[in-house]
Amino acid sequence: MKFRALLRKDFRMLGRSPSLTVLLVLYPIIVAVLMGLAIGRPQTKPTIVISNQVPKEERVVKLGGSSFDLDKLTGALYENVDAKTVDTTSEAVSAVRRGDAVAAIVIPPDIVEQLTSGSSQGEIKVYYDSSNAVRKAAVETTINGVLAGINRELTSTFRDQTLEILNALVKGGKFDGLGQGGSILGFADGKDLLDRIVSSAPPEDRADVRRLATTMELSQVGIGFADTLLKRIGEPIKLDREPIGTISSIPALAVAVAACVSMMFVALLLGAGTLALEQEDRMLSRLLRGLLSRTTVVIEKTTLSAICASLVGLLMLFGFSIFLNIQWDRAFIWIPAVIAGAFGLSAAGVAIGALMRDVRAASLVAFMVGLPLAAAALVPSDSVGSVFGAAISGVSALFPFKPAFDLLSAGLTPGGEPLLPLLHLALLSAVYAAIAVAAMRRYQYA
Amino acid sequence: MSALLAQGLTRRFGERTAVDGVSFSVEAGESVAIVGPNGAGKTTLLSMIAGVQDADDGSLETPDGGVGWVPQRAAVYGKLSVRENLELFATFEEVPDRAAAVDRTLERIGLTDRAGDRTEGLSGGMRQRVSIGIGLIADPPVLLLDEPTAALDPLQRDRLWKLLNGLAADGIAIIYSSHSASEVQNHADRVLVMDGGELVYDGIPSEIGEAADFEEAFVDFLRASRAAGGAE
Repeated sequence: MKFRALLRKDFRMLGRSPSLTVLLVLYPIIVAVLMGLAIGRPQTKPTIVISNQVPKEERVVKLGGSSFDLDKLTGALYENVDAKTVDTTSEAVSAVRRGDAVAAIVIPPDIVEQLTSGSSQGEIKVYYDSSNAVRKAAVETTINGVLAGINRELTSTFRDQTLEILNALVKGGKFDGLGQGGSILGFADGKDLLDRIVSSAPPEDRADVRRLATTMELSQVGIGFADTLLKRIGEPIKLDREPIGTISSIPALAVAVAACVSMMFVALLLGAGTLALEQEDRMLSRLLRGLLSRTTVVIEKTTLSAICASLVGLLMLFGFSIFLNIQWDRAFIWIPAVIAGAFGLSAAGVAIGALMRDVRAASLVAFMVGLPLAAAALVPSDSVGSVFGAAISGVSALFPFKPAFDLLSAGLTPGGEPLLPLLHLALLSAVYAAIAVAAMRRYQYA
Repeated sequence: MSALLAQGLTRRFGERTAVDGVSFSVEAGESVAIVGPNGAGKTTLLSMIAGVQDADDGSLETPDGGVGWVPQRAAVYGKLSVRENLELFATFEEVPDRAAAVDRTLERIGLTDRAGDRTEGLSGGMRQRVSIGIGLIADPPVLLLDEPTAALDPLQRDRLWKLLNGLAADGIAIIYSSHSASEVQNHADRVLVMDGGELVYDGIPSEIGEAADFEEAFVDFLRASRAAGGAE
């Protein structure tokens, strides 16, 4: 009865703070919509200017018996970027300088000559905006990916051409590659020919003829191995990926991060603020003189904050589900996960409120504690060195954000295991509630 | 029989003794002022009687209806109306007929016509009356007030004293701390003078000094008391 009266009082007071109520309702909706749009919509392609200066009639390159179309190769560029075509190098560079494109690719007119010469590499010029490090990295990644595709295609063509040449060397016949051409005698036929003429050769030359026949025979065998090796050149190592553990997705992790961070701020600030406000208004000296126990007050403030934080978290997840594929068949896990996380974070907030005693200090500390600890919890411990990583893991384990995040991630990920983070969260909730009850002992003597 | 009987009440904070063996009794309808310099132990004594903190030594006999408690400054929920504040504490105090208790209290504190107003919009004097109303909601025979008129203007103080004197006239024992010599002189039936945690005087205000120079007489009294005890 008293617990319900206190909870009803707090909700009534919250409802009479229009700005806070609007913030609590609007904040999750806005964040959910923005993040949902950012994560859920297809990635936009970067704009890249391409200046292909090879004359149209020269864009089909012949290499021996095979040929490739330069336009087909550069077509890979058009698939991965929003490509705009210009004629000259200066136009391409100007587009980058103006910010119309993140990069310009200039294919020089002599690239066909470079590729078919067999003696030099083809060279494509890339211009990009280097003033923004993040943008530069993204452009480099995109262009490197595209060029890797082109190179793979060319490697395949060159390999086929080389195999054709080697095949001609072994079997003989028409030879046409890398600018050279004609009809040749293959190693196999050459050996047969030498075997036939060795008996009619002058005695002093027979040994040399036999050595030449043996050389041709061994060359034939060696080139046979080269055939196999060359076929592997295009992709010497092939990846065989085998995931261990649950398969998490970037959207699921992003949703968990967004929901947990929002819940954390609501839970910490409300938990710390509402308890500190009772003390600041000197109401605790009324309540704690036998009307209510400290434990009742701590549980009530934790429940109040947890209800609000849960609503914010659930509202965000429902909002995300409009844009993203949320695992509704796992709602029986992630809905309780949101509530459990909200309780853990609220208990920490109430403890901060009990320790700080006034609203401004409590809010400031809640913010200062919450933000870095949440950030630390999201840093993979193995990415920062063993000692620092262990320190981060240790500190994160003492604050409920990490288990709340792990629990929600497990709920949103197929096959996720929620038991361990749930137990971790339950333990931390109890510890923080105990800290709050102990800290409130001071209020009775204030 | 006394409405309240304190015997040897003692409260220590580490090495410091905030209240040192204080004994006194209060009769029904009596208005008792607790005065003394800052740090004398007035608030600690009141909060021990109110049950906000425990005594380390001594005993306290309180009447069946308990004691009402009005902390320093108006301790009310600003976002709640006058009625909602009273209803909430009627629930906490487990008052049997809450609606009747709230109506009776509203009438007592003279705020029936402002019952629906949020307390954050009331004047300081009205908020203090609501705070007193919360202390009265369970109809206690003893009401404790910690500096009830601090931060009120003279007109608001006058209204508040009319309310408190009316309560005393109804038989409620009023025990309050104060720094105002004139309030003690004008409204207290008895005065308890505390200094350094000890009760150094328990008697009627007129024994300390004449009406015209009570403030000066009170200071002289404290100096003489300290000189006799070898303290300053």
